[in-house]
Amino acid sequence: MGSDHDKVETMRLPWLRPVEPLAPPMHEELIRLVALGDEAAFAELYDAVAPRVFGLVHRVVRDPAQSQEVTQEIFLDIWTQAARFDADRGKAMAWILVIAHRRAVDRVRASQASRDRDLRQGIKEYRESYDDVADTVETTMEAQRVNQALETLTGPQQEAIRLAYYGGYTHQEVAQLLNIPVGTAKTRIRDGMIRLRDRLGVA
Amino acid sequence: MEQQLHLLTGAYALNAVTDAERTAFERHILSNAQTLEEVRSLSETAALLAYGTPAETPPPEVKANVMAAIRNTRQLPPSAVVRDLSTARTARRGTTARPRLPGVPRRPWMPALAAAAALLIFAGAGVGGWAVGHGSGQQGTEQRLAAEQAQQAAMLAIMGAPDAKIATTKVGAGTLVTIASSGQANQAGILVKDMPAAPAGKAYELWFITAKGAVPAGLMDVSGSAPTVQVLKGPLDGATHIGITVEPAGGSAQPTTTPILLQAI
Repeated sequence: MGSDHDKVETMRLPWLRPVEPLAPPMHEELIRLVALGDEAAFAELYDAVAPRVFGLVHRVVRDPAQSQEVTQEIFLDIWTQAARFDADRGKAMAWILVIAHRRAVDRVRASQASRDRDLRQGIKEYRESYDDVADTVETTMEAQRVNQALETLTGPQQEAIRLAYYGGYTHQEVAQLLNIPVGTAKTRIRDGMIRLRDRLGVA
Repeated sequence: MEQQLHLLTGAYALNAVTDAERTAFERHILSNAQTLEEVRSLSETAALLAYGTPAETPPPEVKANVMAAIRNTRQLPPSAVVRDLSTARTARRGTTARPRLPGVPRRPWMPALAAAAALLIFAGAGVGGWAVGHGSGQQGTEQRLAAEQAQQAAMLAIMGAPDAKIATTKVGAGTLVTIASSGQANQAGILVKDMPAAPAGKAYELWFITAKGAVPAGLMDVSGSAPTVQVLKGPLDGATHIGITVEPAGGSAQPTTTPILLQAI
């Protein structure tokens, strides 16, 4: 023990340096640097969050080429808006994901309007794609937590929320897809989200 | 109609509204603190839904395009957007002036309110709901549950501190370690998921580390695959890192092995 003790005392803890990569700057710090025009920080932020952003966008937009375009728009937004992110007020990742979801939904609505989409076809495709997704193994703690929380909702609540968030449908479209009154869709989404919030422990 | 608007909180948080509804709803919530609070929490919840779909690395040209594009794109200055909601709240109480979203020109894809909401919310998003799944083995004794709840409550207190720092690190094949620390609370807590049991005769030991050395912070309680929450023993006292080493069962006074995790705090 004595020698170990000395090692630590004389220290400079020899392992401090090599494991430094285990402790990358947090996203919030990167955004602060990005706000100052730091392109290297932006590249690092991109590497850290792009898979999560692209995963979400691809799920909502579906078309790979359009998903890539939208992802570029989102990161350009992050670059442009970085100074307006306030780390004291919240998490960078959530800020980014809110921007990303809004962009993805705007795109899917614009392209759907142009080809006058058939909602029935939409829900069929949507369900098929959901089955694919459900088969893939998601290993992150967040993913498990979110999926477990979703499972605690009623079937109809889950379906309405998934159609709205991952499908990019308005609550009126959700009502049409599920053949329920608009008011029912609205309250079903709200009740489900409240339950989800409580399950996820969101304050 | 006005009475119905508050029912739109869930749909609004999910972006499941038309542009016209969004405008009407935003006007409505600025004068309604209760609805505003519900929107805030549901928006935070909605952001977590992004984790319900698999992450996927975009093709390399996306990054190349983005990096090229930012060189020709001017960044916006900081704005007062962040203050909008608190201003609106005050205005609601203090004056009869109709609340208005001030500041930057509206962008169709990112209204000022959504930006403000995004900025306002989410302390702890990504780990905020860590307690979920914790009770998967609900047969535990009441004492154990009470002890767990005490640890969870203490962890929440750390995470809720104004200066809380939270970081998640992957260790080994699939172990996720989340460390929360707060200088103000002078404490740190740890959440581990899928941590393999320590080798026979060994234990995981936690350390507060400063430039002066390592101070023991207790042995880790690792039990099965359910997430485990634990507050580190002792005060933070200016520690710059938190470490985990494998030590003989019962622990050591100083680390004897290279840490399996070293997290800056």
